[in-house]
Amino acid sequence: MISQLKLIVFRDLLLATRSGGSWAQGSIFFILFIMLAAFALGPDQAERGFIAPALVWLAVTFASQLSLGQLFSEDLNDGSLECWVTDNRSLFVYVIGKLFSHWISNFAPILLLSPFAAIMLGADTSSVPILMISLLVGGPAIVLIGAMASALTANLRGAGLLIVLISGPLLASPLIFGVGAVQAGVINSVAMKLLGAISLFSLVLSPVISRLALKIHLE
Amino acid sequence: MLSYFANPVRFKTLSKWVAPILGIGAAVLIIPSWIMALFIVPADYQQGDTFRIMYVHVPAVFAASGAYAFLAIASFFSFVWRHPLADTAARVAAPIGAAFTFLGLFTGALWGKPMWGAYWVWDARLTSTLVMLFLFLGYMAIRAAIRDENISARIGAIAAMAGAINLPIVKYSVEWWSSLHQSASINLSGSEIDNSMSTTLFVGIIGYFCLFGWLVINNMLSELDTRRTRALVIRSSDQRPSTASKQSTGNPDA
Amino acid sequence: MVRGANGSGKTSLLRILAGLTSSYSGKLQHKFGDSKWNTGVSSGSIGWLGHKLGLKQDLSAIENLAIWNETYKQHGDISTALQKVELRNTQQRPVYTMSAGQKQRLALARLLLSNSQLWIMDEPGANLDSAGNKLIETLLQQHSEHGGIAIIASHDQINPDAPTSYIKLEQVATA
Repeated sequence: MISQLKLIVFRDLLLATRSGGSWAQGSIFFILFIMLAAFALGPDQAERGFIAPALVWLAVTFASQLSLGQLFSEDLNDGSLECWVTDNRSLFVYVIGKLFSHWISNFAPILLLSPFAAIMLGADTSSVPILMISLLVGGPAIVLIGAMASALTANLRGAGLLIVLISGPLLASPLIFGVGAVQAGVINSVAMKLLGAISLFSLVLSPVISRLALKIHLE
Repeated sequence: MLSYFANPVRFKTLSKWVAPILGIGAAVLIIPSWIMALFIVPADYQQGDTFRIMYVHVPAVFAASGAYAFLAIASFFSFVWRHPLADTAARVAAPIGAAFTFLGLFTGALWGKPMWGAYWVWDARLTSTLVMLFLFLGYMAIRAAIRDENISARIGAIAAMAGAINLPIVKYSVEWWSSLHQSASINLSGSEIDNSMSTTLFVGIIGYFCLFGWLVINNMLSELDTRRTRALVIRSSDQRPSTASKQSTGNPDA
Repeated sequence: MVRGANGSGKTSLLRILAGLTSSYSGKLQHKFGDSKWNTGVSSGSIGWLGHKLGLKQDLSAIENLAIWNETYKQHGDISTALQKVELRNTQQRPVYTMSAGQKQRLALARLLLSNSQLWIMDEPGANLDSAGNKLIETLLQQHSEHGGIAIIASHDQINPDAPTSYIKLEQVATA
């Protein structure tokens, strides 16, 4: 089972290197979002610095949803998933492997950019570490909720927007606690703990739902 | 017991009785509740007459929450037992629930202006009702996006159930969030409620639930007829080319 | 061998047999004992060749096979498989540069690596020239010599020498 998991992760990372840089699209969108947000907020550095963590959280949330559009649909459309399932391989292992490789290839670059984005927006440098911790703790929730929506909408026309329609309402919780954790300013705040709890809850729920949805789309 | 009613023919006979009862019930309850709300209930000593919009607002929000619960339960039955009737119920309940949610939000905004001095306040109740509206809309969008009836039913059911599991978490987070900067929020249970007020509200809520039931059953009936018509049209258009193959019986090819 | 006109349900039947579709009415019975069909065939897996080939466009032929070979854990010989489907000369090319027929051949090579006793093939002759159809017949012959069986939906191009029973699906007129 572990070897199958490693295989999926390896295959997806290999595909990411051949994809002409599509793994970076989420990161580029992320920086673009930050830039446009700065324009919208005006040149006052202090004013922007105050809401910088909230904007970074928002940008991470949207950028990650955007990059999740193709998570399952490609394997579904080219028949890879059919072959995987008819070979009696676990769909559950497949989903976990996909999530893991997506995390490395798409989400990690966004995470790496986020401290720079926060500083560009004028955030207090002392708030950057706690922002990073909150993103590490809450990131799984965002990706997992998005992956669930991606599995539900795999195979559909206009899936990109549909993913956000499905995941959007559910993303309220991680956003609230994520930004709350940064505002609390300490690692062991209530918000941070609740954020972690939501990530853990999503870790249980999302693969189960994704597996069910993919099974239906395979018919 | 559920499987007894799951038969479409039995459902149709039964609904001939239940639908009018619910429809009349809705009219008999909602119209008097409005009359009571407008003429009998005394004006609030703080809010004057503006609070009377509550008798449209509160039942709508109750019915909306009930509609989401109905959607989730119907989806569960549809997913586990794959019964088309449960799916039809879920499918028609979504737009009705969305309409109730919208009514609740709209009247809430109108009420908010004199209450809070703003049409929209990010109060916990309003915000989680807004989230619920998006859950309804997301469900409707995904149902509409999938052509295959069978896949649409099952994917939609999963989406509705996932939403239902998450809704309490979202509700809790929104409450936690709005409690951070609590300024002006109403608390119905805390304020003193006149006896006639609670009676009126209660009658209104039951009336709205009857209205919801009546709308769901009627829309289910028309949905069933639409499906039957569609099936007949497809079948009759298939008829002509297949007459040739009707003659040939199952001979093996070689 | 499953035959029948377009729309007679060949693909649906194969997808049910492969365990992909579970929403059907009726009962699935087979001669492989009581165990579930999916796991009942001795190797525990089905070699599936559908309309979608299960190939990654951005990877080369040899990389595609290497990944499936890892998945199947049979440690089959990739170069032999490529040899059999006559793709040795194009093994380094990314799949998106290959012709439809070459892709079909590559998918056949994947099937060879799977080492499953049971092959389920939906129109394996699609996009193949007559030499390709001959190739499938040869592969089926070898597969049957090794004790394997295949369920194939196809039109008339493929006529294997191996012992074959034919099923013809008819459209039932719904009056």
